[in-house]
Amino acid sequence: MIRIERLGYETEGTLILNDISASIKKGRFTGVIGPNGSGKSTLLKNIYKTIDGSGEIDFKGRSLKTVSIRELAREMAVVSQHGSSDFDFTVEEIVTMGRYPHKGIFKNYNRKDREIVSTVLKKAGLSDLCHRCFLTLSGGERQRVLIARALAQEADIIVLDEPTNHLDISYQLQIMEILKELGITVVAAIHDMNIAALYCDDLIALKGGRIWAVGETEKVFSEEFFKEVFSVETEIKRNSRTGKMSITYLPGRGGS
Amino acid sequence: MKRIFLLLGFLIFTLAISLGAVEIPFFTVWKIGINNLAGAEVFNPQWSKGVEMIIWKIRFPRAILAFLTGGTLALVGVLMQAVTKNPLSDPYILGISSGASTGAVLCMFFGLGGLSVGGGAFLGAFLATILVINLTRGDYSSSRLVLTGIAVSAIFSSVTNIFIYLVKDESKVRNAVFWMSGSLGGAHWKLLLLPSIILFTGALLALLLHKELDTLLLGEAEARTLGIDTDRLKLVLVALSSVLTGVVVAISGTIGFVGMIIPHITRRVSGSSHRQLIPLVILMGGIFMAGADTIARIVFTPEELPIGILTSALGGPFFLWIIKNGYSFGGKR
Repeated sequence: MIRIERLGYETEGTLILNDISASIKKGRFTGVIGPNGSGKSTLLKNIYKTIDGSGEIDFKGRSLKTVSIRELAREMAVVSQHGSSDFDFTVEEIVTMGRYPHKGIFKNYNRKDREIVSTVLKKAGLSDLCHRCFLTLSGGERQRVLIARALAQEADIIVLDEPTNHLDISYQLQIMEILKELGITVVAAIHDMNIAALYCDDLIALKGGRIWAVGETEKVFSEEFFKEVFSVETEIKRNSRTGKMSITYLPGRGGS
Repeated sequence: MKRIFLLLGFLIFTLAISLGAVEIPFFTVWKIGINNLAGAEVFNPQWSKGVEMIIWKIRFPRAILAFLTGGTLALVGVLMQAVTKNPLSDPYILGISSGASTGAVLCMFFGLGGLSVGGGAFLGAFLATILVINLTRGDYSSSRLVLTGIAVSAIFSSVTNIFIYLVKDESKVRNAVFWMSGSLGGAHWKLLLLPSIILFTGALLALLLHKELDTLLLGEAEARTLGIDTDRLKLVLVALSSVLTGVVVAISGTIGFVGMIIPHITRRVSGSSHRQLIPLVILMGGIFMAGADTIARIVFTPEELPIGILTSALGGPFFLWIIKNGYSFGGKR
């Protein structure tokens, strides 16, 4: 679905991304992981085209450079952390904005849009809150509103730029469940390695602006991997109930 | 809900015409109005020619001009607030009115290249807006925005004052000074055509862009990921605001704070969604201005207070109150 080739990004003389090549496969959940400052967010911003680096990104067989932001918005929904501060829309109004890419200047939101909005509100468990004012919601609820807006875009791919940071674990799991159930292509920056192990099919692991590893989560994760990328000793076991890898951190045993 | 405000608008409009040095009964106002609109004596005139003259030739156009001016300033406030994502933005606070003033004064004194006063005011407003936006470099925090506005305003005011000082033609100077403090005193029927067309067109454009304006309030990055070319949209909004401000300033002088107060109050009724906000904010701006102008006319009769002084007297404390209580795009829920 997306193929990144030799992507580089430099700002004010600092190289933030260097020679990144990776691909994001259709229908799969791809996690972008790495220590702070490793370039996760910069990589995602290049993918959703708010910044422009060197190299090539191929989006559905076309160069991303030739895709207009309007076209892109119909195919790719973005949930980012640079949240909104002062505005005071209702939940329903904000989610309805997700329908914008499908409208022209002269077309107003119609019944079909309202139906889609009410469906995604239900999916995100927000039906009861739909007339509430966004500013009165808790952090977890706000994040779900933004996810619902992304769903309303009816895009093939959702990009999450650190969406579940600083959320309670229950909200993090809730959001991951919603995304997983959709069965669409998801790319997300993820901090919690156990969440990555639970939900990500593939991983793109960055360190210092370079690719450290790419591939299936099961193949990327290993005790050596955590030592090399995060400088943390770990013990990886398979959880008998989830069937997934479970990472236990072992502090004070080396690392730097 | 909207009907209440329409009714209020009608009442204030009539009151603005009925009150003054000569008080004229409520119904007489409309009898005269209808007679003149119909061009026939629908009602038997039981009033003097002088009264008819005051009502139809002076107070009707003045009340309409008040509605146009207030509505336009409130609309500009809404547009600038969307561009800067900051609810404190107002053409006066950002120094845009000052720029328009300078442009208009220069044209008034020198008739620059045959530019009309309105054209000069537009160019001044546009220049000031671009200046503010470039100087803030996308950091639209309140302190930065307000400080930049103060600086831009000071620069343009000093330019205006230098020319007022240098130009020896006293009548021109008196004109300029009177008009700089804002007044609707020059209203007559012919004067209304341009501001009506501009406000109508501006409101229509703003309404067409209501979805884009909503999305812009979420933030530029988010608006872009929803497929909006934010640079182009902002340029359109800035140009539109400049035209609106330019025309209002050219006709009525600098009248401050309306663009901040009225959207703030209106959002409490309509919410932030621009589709509901825009028509109501124009109506409320008009009501406010007509009411303020009536007070300015009658409070020290026979002397008339320049309306800009009155709106500043109201707006200054309101501004402080908003800062103290935390400003936001306050909604209804």
